[in-house]
Amino acid sequence: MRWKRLFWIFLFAFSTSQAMAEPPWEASLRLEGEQKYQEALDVIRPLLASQGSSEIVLLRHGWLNYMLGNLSESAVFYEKALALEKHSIDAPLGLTLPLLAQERWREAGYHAAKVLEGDPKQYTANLRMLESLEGRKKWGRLLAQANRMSNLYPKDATPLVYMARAHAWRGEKSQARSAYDMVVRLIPKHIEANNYLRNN
Amino acid sequence: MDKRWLVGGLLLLWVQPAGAEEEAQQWFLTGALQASAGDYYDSAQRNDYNSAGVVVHLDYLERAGITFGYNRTNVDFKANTKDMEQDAFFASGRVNLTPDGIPGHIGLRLDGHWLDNDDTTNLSDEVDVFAPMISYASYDKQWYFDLGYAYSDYGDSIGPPGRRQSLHVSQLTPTVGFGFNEMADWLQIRGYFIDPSNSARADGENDTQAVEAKWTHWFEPSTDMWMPYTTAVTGMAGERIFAVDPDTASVYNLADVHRGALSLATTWRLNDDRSVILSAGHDWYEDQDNNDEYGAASLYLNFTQEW
Repeated sequence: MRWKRLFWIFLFAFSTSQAMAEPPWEASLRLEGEQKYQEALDVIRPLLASQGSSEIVLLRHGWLNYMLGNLSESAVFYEKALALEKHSIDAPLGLTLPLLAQERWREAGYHAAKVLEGDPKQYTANLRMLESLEGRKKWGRLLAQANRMSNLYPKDATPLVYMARAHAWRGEKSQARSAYDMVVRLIPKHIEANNYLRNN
Repeated sequence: MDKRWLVGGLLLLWVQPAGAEEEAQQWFLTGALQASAGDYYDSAQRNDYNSAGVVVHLDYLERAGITFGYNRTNVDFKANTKDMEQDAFFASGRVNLTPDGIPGHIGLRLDGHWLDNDDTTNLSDEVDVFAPMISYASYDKQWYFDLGYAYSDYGDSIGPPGRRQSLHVSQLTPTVGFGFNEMADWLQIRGYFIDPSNSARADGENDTQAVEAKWTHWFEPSTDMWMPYTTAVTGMAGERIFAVDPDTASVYNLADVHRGALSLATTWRLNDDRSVILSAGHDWYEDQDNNDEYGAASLYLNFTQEW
């Protein structure tokens, strides 16, 4: 009877331990949700050895390194993913994140433009191009890009914000006010738009 | 000086690129035409000078770049002294690094200058300069530091073998820059510590020290075409001789002590890719060997186009 009891206890403990051995990918996602980015990265690091030629593993390393502020390391992983899958959209768009954080505006703009060659309406690529042109202080080209994006996404406030900024940097205050006015209609509590309208 | 190439270059710079969707561009070309003229008033030896040149930059994204420059200068001397013509060649290579753990850009740069003129004394001729520099610029654009070194080798003075005098010059230029006034203003301070190897060829100077400060102000954006984009006031105090200026990519190969300088430079941004710089300046020199103090008033003009 005692042995029978011990058997059932052992079987219960074994089953519970198996349930608690969370797959690394799921563990990484959970840890990321808890903003524990280093642990989220550590738990999938072994996958590089077994699945280093997988785009999704490389993208995940790129993203988590970006969230940790390891910008150059992040760029390396995204570049590896891009080299693996040259027609990928996720890899070049992911790469623009560390590049923009490092103020490598031209390079971020290059990868955004490559995505737009294949899909001129791709939202994130259009957005990254706005950020690139703003960083490079190309106000006329920023205005043109903001107009293009606003025509594609007329209910989106983001291109209107960049349009307003471009007008402001060109000294075109009335046009900047008009653009910020449209932003406020879409997002009444938009801080930047309200500040500009209040001070100009 | 043949000005036809200068005019032609200006016309080329004025070609307007058509507006279009953004292209995936990896290589970026920037060209500049520059010209200057100055008057050496109160000088016992020189009357005036004029100069013109071209600079071309080729950049691969933000990662690396090379620059080539050429300048032709004519110096008009007073009677009984032959006028001088000088060719100055410049080349520079640079790499931009963004290592993790450092909140900014690290720049590595190597400049080279080669000056050749028909100075009958050979004192300012056959000049070779190699100048490496390391720099740091913070991501928040609040701070900039650099440390530059320049080694200049001048041709031997004329004379019989054994009596010719050689000259080489070592220069250190530590620099700090910082922004203020909500980044509408920038102040850069640079020290020049110059050590000539032969004081007999350096107007009696064993070493010289000078400090240069440059204040740049960005104006409120305006639709008025005459409103400048920036203006910069630069002043230099102290003494320097045979200086190599890393910002203007110029070599001061006059064998006179440079005792001070003041200039005002204004930039107009014509569009996203084109700008004009107009600068007026004054320099104070002393030829200690001949007890001659004089000044130089100058004007400088630059057109820059980016593709």
